[in-house]
Amino acid sequence: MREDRILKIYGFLHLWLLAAGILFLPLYAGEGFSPETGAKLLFLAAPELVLREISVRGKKIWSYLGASLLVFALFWFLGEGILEKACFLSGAVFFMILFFWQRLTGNREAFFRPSYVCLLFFALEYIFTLFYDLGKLGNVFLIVAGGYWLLILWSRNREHFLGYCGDYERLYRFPRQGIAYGSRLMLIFLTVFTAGCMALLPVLGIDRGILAVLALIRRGLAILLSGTGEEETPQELPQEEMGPQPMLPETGEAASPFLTALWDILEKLLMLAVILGTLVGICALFYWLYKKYNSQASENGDILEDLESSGMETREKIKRKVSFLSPFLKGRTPRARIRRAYKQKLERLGKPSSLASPEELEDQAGLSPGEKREEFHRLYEKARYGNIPCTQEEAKRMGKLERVDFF
Amino acid sequence: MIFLLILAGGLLAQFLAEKYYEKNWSRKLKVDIRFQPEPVFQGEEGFLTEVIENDKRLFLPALQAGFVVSRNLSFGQEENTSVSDQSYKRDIFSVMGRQRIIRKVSFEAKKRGYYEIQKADLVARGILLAPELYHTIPCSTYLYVYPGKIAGEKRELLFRRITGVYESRKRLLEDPFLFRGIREYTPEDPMNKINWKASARAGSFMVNQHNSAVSGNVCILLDVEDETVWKYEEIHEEGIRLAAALAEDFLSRGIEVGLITNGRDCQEKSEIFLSGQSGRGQREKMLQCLARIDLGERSRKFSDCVEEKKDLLLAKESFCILITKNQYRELEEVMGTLGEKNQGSLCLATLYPEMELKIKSRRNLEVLRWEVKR
Repeated sequence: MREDRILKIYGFLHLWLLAAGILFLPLYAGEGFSPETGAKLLFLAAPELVLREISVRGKKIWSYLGASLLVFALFWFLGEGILEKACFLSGAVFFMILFFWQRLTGNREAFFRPSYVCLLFFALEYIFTLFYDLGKLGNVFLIVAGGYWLLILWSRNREHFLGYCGDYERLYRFPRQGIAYGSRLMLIFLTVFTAGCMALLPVLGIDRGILAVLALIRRGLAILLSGTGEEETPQELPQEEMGPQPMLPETGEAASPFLTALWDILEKLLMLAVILGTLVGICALFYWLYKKYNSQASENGDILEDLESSGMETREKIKRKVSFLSPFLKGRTPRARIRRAYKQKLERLGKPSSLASPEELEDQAGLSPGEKREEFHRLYEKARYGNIPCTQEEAKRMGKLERVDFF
Repeated sequence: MIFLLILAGGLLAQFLAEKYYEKNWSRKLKVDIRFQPEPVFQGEEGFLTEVIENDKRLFLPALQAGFVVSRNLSFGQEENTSVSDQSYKRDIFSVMGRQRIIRKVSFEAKKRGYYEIQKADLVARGILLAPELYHTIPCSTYLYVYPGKIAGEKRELLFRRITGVYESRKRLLEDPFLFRGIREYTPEDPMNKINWKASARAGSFMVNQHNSAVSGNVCILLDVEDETVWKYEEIHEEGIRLAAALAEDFLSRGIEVGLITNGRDCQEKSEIFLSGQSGRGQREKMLQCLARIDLGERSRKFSDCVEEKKDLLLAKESFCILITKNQYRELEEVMGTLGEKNQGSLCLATLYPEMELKIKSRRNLEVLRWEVKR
C-alpha cells in the first residue's frame, strides 16, 4: 500500500520533536545552548529523512551505512563544542539505529507515529527542569507537549480517515471528498477547542485552588493524626472579641488564598467567555456567508439541499394538569354530589348495566316517565356531560329528587 | 502541576467533544426510504428514493445508512449491496449541517411479490472518525411486483382457445326470456327460432336471438400445491403468470373474474380468495393477490379447497378455469362436477415437456396443456 504523504509528514515531525526535545535538555543544562544551536537542531530533520528513505527504498545495506557515515561527518563538522558535537552525533546515531532496526523487523510504523507514550519524555524533561529550576526551558517543554498532543490528534484523525476510506472506498458513490472536508472541519474545531482548554486550565489558576485544598486536607489530617484536637480546650476570648467575625480580613491582613484563587478564576472565566463569544460570532458570520453561496449542489448524482431553519416554528410544552382539590374536596363539589345521588338512586333499584346509556338505565330501574324523571335525567346529564359547572341549588335539588318515589 | 493541567485540558476537550457528538449526532436526523408509488411487473425496473435530512448545525462527516430488502430486488453490481439470504444495502453519505440528500437508486424486480422495508440502520463515525455510533429509524414502505407478462404466439393461441370455450358455453343455453335481437335465418337455425312476423315484414326468414342463460363470470382456480417433496416453483410461477394474464384478458372485456387458490398470503399466511367482480379495481386486486402468494408456505390439497367453495361456484354458475400441474382423481372429479353443473369448465395443465398429460377432455371439461420451459 502506498504511504500517505500527510501521515509521513506527521511521522517525521513526531520524531524530530522527540529527538530535538531530548537533545535540547543536555544542551541547555550544559549551557551550550544558543540561538545558533537551536537553528542547528533543525538540521536533525535531514538525517531523519535521508536514513528513513534509504531504509525503506534502499536495496543494499551498504548504501544505508554509507549515508550514516556521511551524516555523522556532517554533524561532526556542524557542532562547535564537544557537547554540541556529542549531542548531534547521538541524535544521528539514534536515527541510524532506529531505522536500521525498523528495516530488520520490517515494521515501518514502529516509532514513526505520534503516541501518547512519547508524552512521557516531555513530562520527564519538564520534571527535570523543575528540579533544576530551569523556568524558561520548562515553558518550552509545556508548549512542545501541547503541540505534540495536537499532533497526536491530527495523526489519529488522518489514520482513521484513511482506514475508513480503505474499508469503504470501493462502494459506489463513496463521498471521499465530502468526508475529507467534514473530517478536516471537525479537526479544526477540535484543535481550537483543545488548545483553548489547554490554555484555559493553567491560566484559571486551578492549580492554586487544588494546592489550597490539598493544604487544607493536609492540615486536617495533621490535626486528626496528632490526636491533640480532642484534648484542646476552647480558648477563652475576652468579652470584646466575642462578637460576630466579618468574612473579609481586616485592613493589613492577608486575604484567604482560597478566596483569592476563586475570584481570580471567576474573573478569568468571564474574560474568556467574552473572547470566546466574539470568536464564535465571527465564525458564525463566515459560516453563514459560506452557506448562503453554497445552498444547493450536486455530488455523485445526489441532490444536496440546504435546509432553512423555519422561524415560524414554535414549541410548546404541554402543561401538566394540576388539580388543587384534594380527593375529599372533589367529592363535595355539586357535580360530584349530583352524580353520586344518581348512582345511589339507580343502585337502590338494582345493579345497573355498565353498557347502557343513562336513559336505558333509568328504564331498567323502572323509573316511570314524568316531569320529575326528566328533571332527574337532565340534572345528571348536565353534571356528567355538561361544560357548565353545576350550582349548589342543583345539587340540593338532585338530593331531593333522589328521595322521590317515581313509581 | 501545569504540565498535568495542560494534559488534563487536552483530555477534557476530547472527552467533552466526544460526549457532545455522541449525544447530538442523531438529533433532528431523518432518514426516509421510499419505493416508487406505482407497482412494477416482474422483470421491469423500479426505483427507490433515499432521503437523508440533517436539520441541525452539527455535521456528520461519515454516515452510513443501510436497510434490508428481499434479494428478489436486484440493485445491480455498483449499488453497494451484499446479497445473502436478503439484500443488505448500505450507502455512505457525508451530511453537512442543515442539509438534505436525495438519492435515487434503480433496481430490477426479479420476482413477483410484496416487498417491505421496515427500518433503516444508521452508523455514524464520531469525533476523529473513530468510534461507531448506531441508531435505528423505523420506516414503512412497500412495493408490489406483479407477475410477469406472458406474450407471444403461443399465448395468443391458448387465449383464443379459452375464449372459444367460454363463448361456446354461452351459446349452449339460451334464455328464451332474454331477447337480444333479430338476424337473418341460417340453415343451422332450428325452425322454432323463426320470428314469423318479422319474416313477413322483411320478406325473408328472420330468427330471434336470445341472451345466454348461463352466468358470464369466470373463476380462476389456481393450484400451487406440491404433492411430493419435490418443488415445482417454476411451474407454479408460470401458473401465476397465466392466471394474471387470463384475469387481465377477461377483465378488459368487462367480464367478472374471481380467484380461488390454495396459495397462502405472504403476510397473513391465510389462503387467498378474491370474490368475482369486474372493473379496473378488480384488476389491481387480482394482481396484488397473485403477487402476495408465498410459494414457500405449505398449501393444502386443492380438491379440498374447491370442495369448500363448490356451493359458491355453483350458485354463481361460474365458468371455472383450473390452472394446475396436479392431475389426481379427486381434482378431476370435482372439476367434472363443476363443468357438468355450470355448463362447462376448463383445465389448464402447466407441465414440463417431459410430463404426461393424464386428464382427458370430455363433455363440459376442456383440458389444455401449457408447456413450461425448464
